[in-house]
Amino acid sequence: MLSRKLEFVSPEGLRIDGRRPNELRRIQARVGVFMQADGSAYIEQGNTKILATVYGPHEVSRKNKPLHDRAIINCEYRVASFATAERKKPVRTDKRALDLAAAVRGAFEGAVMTQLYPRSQIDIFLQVLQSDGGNRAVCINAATLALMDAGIAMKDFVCACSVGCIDDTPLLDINYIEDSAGGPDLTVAVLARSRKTVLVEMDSRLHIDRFDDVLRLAIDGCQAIHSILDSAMVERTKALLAGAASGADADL
Amino acid sequence: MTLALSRFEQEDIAAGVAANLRSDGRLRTDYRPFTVESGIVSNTSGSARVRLGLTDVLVGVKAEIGEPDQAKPTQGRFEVTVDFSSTSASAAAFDDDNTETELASAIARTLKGVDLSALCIVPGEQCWVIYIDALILVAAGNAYDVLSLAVRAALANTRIPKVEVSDDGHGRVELEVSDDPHHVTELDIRAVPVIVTLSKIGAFHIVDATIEEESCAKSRVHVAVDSKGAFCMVTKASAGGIEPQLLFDALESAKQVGQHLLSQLEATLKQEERALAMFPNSQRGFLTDLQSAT
Repeated sequence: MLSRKLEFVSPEGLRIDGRRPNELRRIQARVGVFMQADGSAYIEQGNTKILATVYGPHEVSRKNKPLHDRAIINCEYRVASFATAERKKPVRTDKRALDLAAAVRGAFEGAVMTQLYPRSQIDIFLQVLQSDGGNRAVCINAATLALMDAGIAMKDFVCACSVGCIDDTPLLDINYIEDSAGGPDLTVAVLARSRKTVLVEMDSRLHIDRFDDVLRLAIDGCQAIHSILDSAMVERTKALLAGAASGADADL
Repeated sequence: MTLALSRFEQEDIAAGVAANLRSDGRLRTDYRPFTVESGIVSNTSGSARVRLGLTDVLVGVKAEIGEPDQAKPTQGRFEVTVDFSSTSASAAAFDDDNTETELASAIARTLKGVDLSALCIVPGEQCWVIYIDALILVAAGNAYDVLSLAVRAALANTRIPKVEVSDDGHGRVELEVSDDPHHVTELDIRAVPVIVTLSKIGAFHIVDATIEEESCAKSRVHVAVDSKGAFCMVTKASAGGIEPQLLFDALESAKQVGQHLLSQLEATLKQEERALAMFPNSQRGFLTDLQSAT
């Protein structure tokens, strides 16, 4: 009933939050948020705010079985009870959270050079502080930065982006209101240089003729996000170098 | 909240406490400086992040309309939950729900003395429920104190929309919640105390224990102190006993430290408010430089 009244793209071609259909939200990223973690990163994409922390590679925990030829990637995803507009009661085992964690793990199994760390485990912990759509994609972007901060070998940046499609118009990086319109929601993660996709997920249905446009827009979005992640990483490395040069604790 | 320490490390820490010179150079009753940032989660009614040492706590407060407690029909109510975020270093060590519920119930108990009659909307039927959800991002010692500071800062930051109650003439009431961001009330938080945790090491007690000191403390006392210096909660935690005289001494220093903490928190919040008024677009929260934290 909300979607019928709401106009998602105005006649002037502007979306509810004032963006053009192929425009990303403002993305701000920071690498190195916590000192005691091996790697950490924080991303604000519009009003979606996510923290990622990485521990490892370390000894395999009791729950898992070590693999003799590569590392296990363990991924956990949690949403703070105050993250959504309506407060959510905290639940321990949320099916959707498990599903999202599995998707993120899948994306990184194709990007992290796990064969370099046999019989060990890499933990990726994702914490949503504020949720406004596109959580899946933002989680992957934050995890990429945190893994790099931890110095874990990867083939490339994994950059993710989501695209919706409302009234035949593909919309890049949809927010919560656009997401709740019930239209298709495609999340794509690509390796930045080779453009290989490591994650493709779509909810709802979309006509095959439109799929090409939607996927293309998503991959373009991933490319744009890559340059943002890259500059966040460069900034962090420069700060580390400056710290090392001035003799301060390089860990800071 | 314990580390595995060798006997020598434990003896070293105990000797330092006995000599009133702890391993980081502090006296027994010295508190480390803490940082507060409030209002950093924009979709909450109030929020605050407090960092002390490496310990990092984020509290989000949401006000929603609900039913009052039947025992107190003319008062609003608090609901407190505490969650160890998986980002926390030793998440695995804290995974038993016990610590989370212990922390949450300690905070709930410190809030019992707060008068919430201003939150009543329709007596016995509708009131504001203040949900206090805490996220422990990094647990590296002294979680109780940091949590209580963050809760107080988040409550100070909380704004509740004004509600118009009108009778429709048939005995039913209609509520109209204002959506004007300036048409809000603040919570009266003068009665909200802070927790001061005292750890007993050897024959002495210390405040603001680091995780190493916590690991070799024989017993702990959590004391909630309000701005007038009154005790709002006293709990002895962990296994060891504590001598009556030491307990009296501990309570006395808790009173002083607690009042000092409260005035310090007040000053920090005022300072933040002034800084925000001057530079409203300055970068805050998790995007700010990590080095400025310490």
